[in-house]
Amino acid sequence: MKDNYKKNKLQIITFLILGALPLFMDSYYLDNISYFMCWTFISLGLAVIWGMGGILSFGQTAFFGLAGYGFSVISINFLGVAGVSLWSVILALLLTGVFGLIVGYFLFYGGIYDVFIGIVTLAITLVLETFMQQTAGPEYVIGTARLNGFNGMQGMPIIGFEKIPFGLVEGVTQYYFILILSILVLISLYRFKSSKMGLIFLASKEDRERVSSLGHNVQKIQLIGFTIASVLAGISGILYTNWGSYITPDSMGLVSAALPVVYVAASGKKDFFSVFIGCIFFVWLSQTLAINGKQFAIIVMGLILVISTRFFPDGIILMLKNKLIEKVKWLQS
Amino acid sequence: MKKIVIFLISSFLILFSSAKAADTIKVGILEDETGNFAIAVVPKIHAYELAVKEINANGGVLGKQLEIVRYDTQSDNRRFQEFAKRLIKKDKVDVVFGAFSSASRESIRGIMEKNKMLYFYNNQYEGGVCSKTTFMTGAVPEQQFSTLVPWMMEKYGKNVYTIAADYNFGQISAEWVRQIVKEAGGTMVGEEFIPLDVSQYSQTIQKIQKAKPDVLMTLLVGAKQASFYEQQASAGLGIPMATSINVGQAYEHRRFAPPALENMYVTVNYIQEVHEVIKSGEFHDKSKDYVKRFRALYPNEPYINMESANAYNAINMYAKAVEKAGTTDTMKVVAALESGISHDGPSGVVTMDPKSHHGSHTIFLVRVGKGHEVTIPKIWKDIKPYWLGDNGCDLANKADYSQYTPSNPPKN
Amino acid sequence: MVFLFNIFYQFGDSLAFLLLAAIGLAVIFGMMKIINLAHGEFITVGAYGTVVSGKVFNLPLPFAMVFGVIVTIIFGLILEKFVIRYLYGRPLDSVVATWGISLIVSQSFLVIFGPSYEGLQTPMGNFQLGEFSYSEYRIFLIFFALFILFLLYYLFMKTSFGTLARATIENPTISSSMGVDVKNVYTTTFAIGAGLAGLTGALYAPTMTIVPSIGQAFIVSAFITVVTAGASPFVGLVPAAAFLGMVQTSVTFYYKSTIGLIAILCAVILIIRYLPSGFSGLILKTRSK
Repeated sequence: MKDNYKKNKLQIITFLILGALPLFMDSYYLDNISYFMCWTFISLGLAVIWGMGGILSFGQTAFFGLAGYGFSVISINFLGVAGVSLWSVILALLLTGVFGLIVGYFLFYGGIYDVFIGIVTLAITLVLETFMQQTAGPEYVIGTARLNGFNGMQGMPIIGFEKIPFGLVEGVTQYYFILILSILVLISLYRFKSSKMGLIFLASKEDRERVSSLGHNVQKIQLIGFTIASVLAGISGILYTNWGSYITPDSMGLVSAALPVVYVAASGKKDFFSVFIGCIFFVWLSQTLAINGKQFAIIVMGLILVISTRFFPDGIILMLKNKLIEKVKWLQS
Repeated sequence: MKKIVIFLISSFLILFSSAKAADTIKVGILEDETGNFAIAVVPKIHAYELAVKEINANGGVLGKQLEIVRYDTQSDNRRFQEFAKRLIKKDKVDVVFGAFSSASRESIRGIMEKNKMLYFYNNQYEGGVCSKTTFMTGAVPEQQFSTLVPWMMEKYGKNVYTIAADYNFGQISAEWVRQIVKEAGGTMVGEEFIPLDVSQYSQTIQKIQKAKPDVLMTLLVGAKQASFYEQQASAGLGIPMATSINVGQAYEHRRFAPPALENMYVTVNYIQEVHEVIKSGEFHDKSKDYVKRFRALYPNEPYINMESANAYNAINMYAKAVEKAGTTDTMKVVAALESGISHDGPSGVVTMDPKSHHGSHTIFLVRVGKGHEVTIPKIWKDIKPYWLGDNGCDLANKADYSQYTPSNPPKN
Repeated sequence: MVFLFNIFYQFGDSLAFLLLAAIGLAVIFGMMKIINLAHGEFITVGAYGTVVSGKVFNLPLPFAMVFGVIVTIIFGLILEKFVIRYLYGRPLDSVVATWGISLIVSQSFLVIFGPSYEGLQTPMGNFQLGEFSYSEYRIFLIFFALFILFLLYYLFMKTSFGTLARATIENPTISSSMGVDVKNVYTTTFAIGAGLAGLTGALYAPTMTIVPSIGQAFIVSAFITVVTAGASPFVGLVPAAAFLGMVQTSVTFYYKSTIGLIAILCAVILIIRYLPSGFSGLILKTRSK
């Protein structure tokens, strides 16, 4: 336990600071940080399959959207039933996981590798987006929930307990819920990384054939990694839908599909903590630039991406984290 | 320790200062200054600013100046959501104006309603929003199509073909066209729905030619879909076209090389050419005056479009309602708006309908000629947004927060 | 007869679009393995180069198009020197860098030229055949696309430069040990790819609205066509475009455009799954039998 503390001083301090923020910040800023944190799960998912397994997938947003829509459809249909918001989350995540399994099976057991995974997952995402965009008509209804096409779905309940007056409405409850969830996910992911399965997954990135010839079922492990990533993307999707009470096919477009890839690559895909912090940072940055930079906001974002690949191919945030640990001796284990 | 104390004290001060009574009325604006929709939206932004400037010069509202707090939503729904929350929670504005696409409106309408924030949507759209705290100043299908379609059918013939963008706005507008064609005794000889990403139309053009319509309704949205016009002209399609979308918002007649839009008819609630085409009278004078004041502030504005008139009217109607209510409290201003507020704006008098919270409009029928010159063959005065009110939406007496469509009307 | 010509026109039009969308990317992604998410922006540069020179310098259309291509080549060379050359052999990193470039370029165009620019008229006229009328320019595009493909096939498969380029890209170490200036070969090949994308923009500029995002209309079609073409892009490009064009045209004919789009995307997924080396793999295999 003490070992863990020693190795992870930076992470622990970061979370202590994050945990203390509600004491200083008012609800708008807290909400905003909760919003930034929503995006970390989809990025962490990508860090699992891309950072660990070397599999670049543009499909994370498909699972994001699927979970968001799934949650909306299920919860709208059973509005008023006790605990609906909670078990519809679980059902939606299960649904997303199943879909992740199916797609993963098609990919890995179908012999699709490298850049083709990117193309196939992008194609799947675009198919979903194209289809969902035109579901405006009254015939596109699941139970009582109209998909409503391009204009998006509304009216899903806030995640929370009806009897107890705390939901993930806004403010402090939502913030701590997402923060604690992030900590749990990060710990689980680090466990996964150092587990036997995780090590095989890492090795498969270097040399798939050799690992397979050593008797490991590479495809099964890739499938597991892919499914984990899809469920994580789903978590982001549900949290985002809950934050804005709204989900649209836009969240599955070309731009949306590229964003997690961009965040993860620029942060440092090999390190989960860097991805977590980096994702929050980049979402914050793009929002701040949009507020202050207006026309130049997007140009600055583009420059950052180009510079980070050119000069910091392992990720800006990861590089900064390593530098920080190097300089501040106390942080080292 | 000292640092923590300073932190705490400064946070208290910040919290404290925001609780102080405001000496301005904060007007929140969420519009796409950049991105795909910018062409049609920038004139709206300038119109808001013009209206605010004029009102402030005249002493403001309730003795307070109007202060604009604006964010560029970059034609991105997520930005709309992020900045809507920011306007409400951080900037604590008194009212919000904005959104171009229906999707962006819907992405924030829920947030506005939940926070009891007064919200004005100032763009043409597919109609049907019946919301107690939302007011729509843009034109809706019953205003644009019930005028346009029968006129086109009378002039050119009863066979109508529709091509529409394959999403809510296009599908619902097409539904309206279908209904009106049927009521006028015409025939729909074809309908094609096209996804927003399509930019190549050879197949579509062939299908249209096969059906031999008298009138072609083009309900196309966005720059990619607008490529249809050039392609149909180069293929020599030659069928009179009618739309509610183009020319009035993104001034395609100025941007596309002629004769791409030859023989296109549009129903708009305003365009800057009104006083150039109508040489005298009420509409001439009002349009000329509006354009003069607009260009005094923005001499380089490429085009003063119909949505700018809506934006301008919206600010003025809000100001009048606040004066009438004596406060910026949302529900009291809503009540004031429901008591029958009008504004005499760039295209004449616009009145807010208490039942549906939509504005009445003067509708101009615009025709684009071979060289893309503009004429106005007909004007309809004071077309009311009757559909919602006739179908059970009565916001003055019954609160609601939904969007309805012809196939899903308010249940009485 | 009229019906047959109609079919030919619709199919050919779709084929031409897919081919022309793909040519630049076929070189940069198909050959050089750089996932160029800025492909759309190369097309945009070519389109704007054409339109601006046509409007501002009053160049006749063919010269304006040449101007557009040259501008794109210069743009490609600059990009290659400062960014792209660090990405060879790192296909997944090229995603991020080229996405960044695409953001910079598209937004810069928005800032410099505004949200829209006045367009050019489509050249040539139209003619009537039965109850249909056709744009002569679009028929020209069909033949021109095939002609360009033939030129490219010849250049990369039959000339010594082409063989050298392909060999160097496949194995730069051995090539350089044989005295080839590898950097030069890469740069030249990239410039050709950029120029081709610029050509696409130039050719389609008179038929579309001139907005900074004009290139976005091509990017998905480009990627799916190149991927379907397979390992040897110039062998497989025409069959790939023909196949995908056929799928899209026929599905759109029977249902609607949205389903046509979905069908073409599903077709690509199936091709990748069941025909991993694409159409070029299929052709080369049958040829070697």
